[in-house]
Amino acid sequence: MRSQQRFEEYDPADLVSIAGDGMIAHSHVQEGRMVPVAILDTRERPDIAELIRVHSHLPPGDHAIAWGEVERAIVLRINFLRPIEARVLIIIDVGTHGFIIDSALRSKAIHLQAGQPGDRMSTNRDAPRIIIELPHTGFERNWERLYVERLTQHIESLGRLSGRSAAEAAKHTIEQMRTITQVQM
Amino acid sequence: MSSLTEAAIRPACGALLLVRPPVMDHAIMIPPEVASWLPLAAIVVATASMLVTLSNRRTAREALKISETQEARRAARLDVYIKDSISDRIVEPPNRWIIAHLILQNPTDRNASVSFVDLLISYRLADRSIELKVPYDPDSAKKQFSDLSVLVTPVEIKDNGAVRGIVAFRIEPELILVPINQFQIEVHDTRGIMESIDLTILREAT
Repeated sequence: MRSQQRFEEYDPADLVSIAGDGMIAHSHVQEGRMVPVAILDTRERPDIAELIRVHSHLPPGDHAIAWGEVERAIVLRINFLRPIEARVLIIIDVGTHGFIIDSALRSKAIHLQAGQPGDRMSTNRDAPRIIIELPHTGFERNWERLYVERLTQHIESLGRLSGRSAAEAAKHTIEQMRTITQVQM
Repeated sequence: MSSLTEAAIRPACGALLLVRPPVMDHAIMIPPEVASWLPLAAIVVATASMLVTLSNRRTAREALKISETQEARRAARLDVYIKDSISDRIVEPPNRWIIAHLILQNPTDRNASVSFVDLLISYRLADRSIELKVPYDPDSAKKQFSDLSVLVTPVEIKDNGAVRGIVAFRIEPELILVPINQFQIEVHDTRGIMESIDLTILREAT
């Protein structure tokens, strides 16, 4: 299995961006690790919103995942097989949502919630949510290097730091984020 | 003359080769009354030969047909029939049950196993077609309909055999919030076969 692939052929309609984020830790889920929440912008994908909604009324479903890239953005592709067949490519910008990938890889899971830009977990606590298990794919081996590299580029794009100091700032930011995301109940 | 011929064909290596023209010592004489029958005899022999060939061809075709039928019976196949189906709205707890009486046939010469059954519910949502799969849970079906002969999956079906039983799918009131277009039952077996059948006549239980 390829650890990370460039999704050359994909349906643009399958691309979904992240509208909001958060973290949830529960002692009975993933050994109490912090599991990230991705609030997906499902305004154009009512089928994904429906899939998330019906899950609370049905037994666990089936899915297959792959990590990849679309135009330099990291993408988590999920092929849902049950209860509704659907494909979604979640675009995750490492600069703004790198911690979602980082904590998803560490907790081996991610929560998905349907929503739209402006939605926050704090204002939608009772919104239906599903947890997706993320088995090891080999992407983890490249992630550490990719995280520092992409976050450095993001910091440089902000125009305040460049070169070595941007890289140092990126490493420091990652360390700081991990003190929060690696909390285990 | 003879010495000339021999010299002409003596090869350089010195070996002697003699060439003699064939001599017809006895000519075969056929009586005229027999000769007149020969074409007819040839036609009779040719016709008989053709009939034998046609007979062999027919036999080969029949043998091929039998082989193909036997091979087809070995190929994986599953036939699904619905004997009856009803929709039962139960008040307490408030659930709708979709119930179907299935007959599953294995018309092959090898054993088969049905691994799981799904109810496929089709509906439209914001101009999109949604196909929702509700898995069949034999335990909850047995619990709800203990007086019925509930199909317990996975179930083995012997070669050229059949099984039958009731499958019942629970639909919670909040599961589907829009009108339903169609119900289908999907039966999956261990050989990778998936057979689906429409639930077109769905009476409401009274």
